[in-house]
This record gives sequence, structure tokens and C-alpha cells, in this order.
Amino acid sequence: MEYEKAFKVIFWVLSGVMFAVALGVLMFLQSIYHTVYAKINGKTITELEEKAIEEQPESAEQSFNPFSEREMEVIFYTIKGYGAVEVADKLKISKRTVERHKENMKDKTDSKNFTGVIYYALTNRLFTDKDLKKLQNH
Amino acid sequence: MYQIIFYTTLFIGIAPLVVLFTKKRAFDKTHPIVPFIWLTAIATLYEFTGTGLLKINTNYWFQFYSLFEFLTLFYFFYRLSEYIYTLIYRTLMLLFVASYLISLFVWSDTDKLISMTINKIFMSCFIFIAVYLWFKSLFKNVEILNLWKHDNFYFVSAFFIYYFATFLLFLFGNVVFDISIYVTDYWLVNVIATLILRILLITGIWNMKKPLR
Repeated sequence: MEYEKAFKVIFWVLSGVMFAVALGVLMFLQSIYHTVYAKINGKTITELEEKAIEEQPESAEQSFNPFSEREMEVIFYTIKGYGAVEVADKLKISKRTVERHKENMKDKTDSKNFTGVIYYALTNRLFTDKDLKKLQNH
Repeated sequence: MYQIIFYTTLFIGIAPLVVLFTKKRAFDKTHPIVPFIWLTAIATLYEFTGTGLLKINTNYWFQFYSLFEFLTLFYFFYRLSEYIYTLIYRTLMLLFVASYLISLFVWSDTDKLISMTINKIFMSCFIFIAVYLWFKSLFKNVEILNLWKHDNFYFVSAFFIYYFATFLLFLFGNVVFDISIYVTDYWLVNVIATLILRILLITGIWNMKKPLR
């Protein structure tokens, strides 16, 4: 019994150590990552986040997204340089539907052409950071 | 006390799927973690009904669960890698097939411990390699502003903590459960680690933001 009790204690201590090591490794890596990110961008994560908040539209009305998910996809692929046929292929819809989406978006934003819609989407920060990164890398 | 922790951990397994469904308009249903969340919810229901109420032999369940666990986690990490480390992942898949066949060979409906050890040890090694590759890509691309607001960081951390903390339990599982009559004292490590895993999963889902694609 004594032997089993000692074994149990050792087992729990070792398991606790394993847990602490895993947690420590993750904390260390995230800390290093944030340092690297801040070094590349010249600012700390807090400063970068504050900047991102400052750049966000002030009122809820301004940040409201008038576009549907599908319409956002049409804008995304158009910015990437895809024509209506290619966008239609990509989204597995007809070219006519793509054009209808574009017309609707022009109406919603009161734009004369589709460039106005793109301008609206970008200035109102309607894309996620991940999407913007994809567009920048394109 | 053990019962409270056990049932809390068990039922919290449904929570990630519930969160995913109640917020389905805001969250990404095509996210690679979704199959694992489904598996967790199904496992919770099975363990409560099949194991808890109907008292079905757990040896079958452990063997099946190991297979689905690997497949869902393989899918998660493979998609997360954006198909860069294809060769490594294909090799790991082959190694899993080999280790699973070995575990089937030593498995019997009266003894699950050796096959469970084989499956879990391979699974742990797979997770350590996949987590390493994820961090490698992370440091290579440096795209994410804040990891604390990034869903995949929580998922990867959850798997890493779980498999690292339970590594000894599964490595010595055969010995531990053979010599001890108080198995729950040891199994509690797995229960607590599972609880942490599930809480991190819920946190990750809560941080999921739907990208356009």
C-alpha cells in the first residue's frame, strides 16, 4: 500500500509538471511571437490594437455592413482582378447573377460604378484582417 | 468529488457544438475544427448513454474513438497547414495506419490497455509534430496581430496541453491500471485534462470570426 501511495504521488507530481511545462511552452512561444510581430511592425501589440480601434468607424451605423455574404465574395474576387465570368465560376453561380449582385451593390451604396462599391467596402472596413492580408499578398 | 468533475467534463463536451449552432450566422461552419467538435459531442452522448446507462463494453468504444480522433485531428492540422507539409502529413497518416493495425492486432474485448497505449502514444507524437509545424508557419508568416484573439491558437493550445499532460498516463497506462485498484485516482488526470481541452475549445469557438472563404 505504501508503495502504491508513493507511486500515486509521484505520478500526480509528474503529471502536474507535464501540464506546467506545456503551459509554459505555449506562454513562451506566444510571448516570443508577439515580440517578433511588434519588432516587424515597429509597435507593441497594444499600440497596434489601439491603432486598429482608432481606425475603426466611430458609430455603429457607419460600421453596418449592407452587403450579403455572397456580395462580399463578389467584391473580394473583383478586387483580386477576376472578371464577371471568373467570379461566377469561382462562386458556382451564373454570370447574370454576378452582374445582378453588382447592380444591387451599386444601388445600396449609391455608386455610379463598381469602383465606388469597392471604395465603400474598404473605407468602411467591411473585410476581415485575414481577407485584407490575402488581397495584399495577391 | 470525482463524480462532479467527471460529469461536468462529460456534459461540457456538448457545449462547443451548442455554441457553434446558436451562433451559426457569425461563425465559420467550414472551419477545420468542426469535425472534431462533432466528434466531441457524439462522444459525450455515447459515453453517457452507451457506457454510463447501457454499460456497453468500453473496449470497443476506445478503439473506435482512437480512429475518429486521429482522423478529425489530422483533418484539422492538415487544413491548418494549408497543404504545405504534405509529405510529412502523408507519412504521418501511413504511420498511423501501421500503428492502428498493430493496436488492432493486440486488442481484445477484455483488454484495451495495450492498444489504447499504442494509439494514444502515436496520437501524442502526431500532435507534437503538428503543433511544431503550426508554430513554424506562424513564425514564418507573422500575420496574426494578437494570438489571444485567434481561434486556432486556442485549438492548438488545447490539443498540445491535453496530449502533453496525459502523455505519462497513457505511456504507463498498462502498468498503472494493472497495479492499482484505485484506477480513478489516475484517470482523474485525463478527466481534468479533458475539461481544460473542452474549455479551450469553447474559448476558441467563441473567438472564431467568419472569413469570406
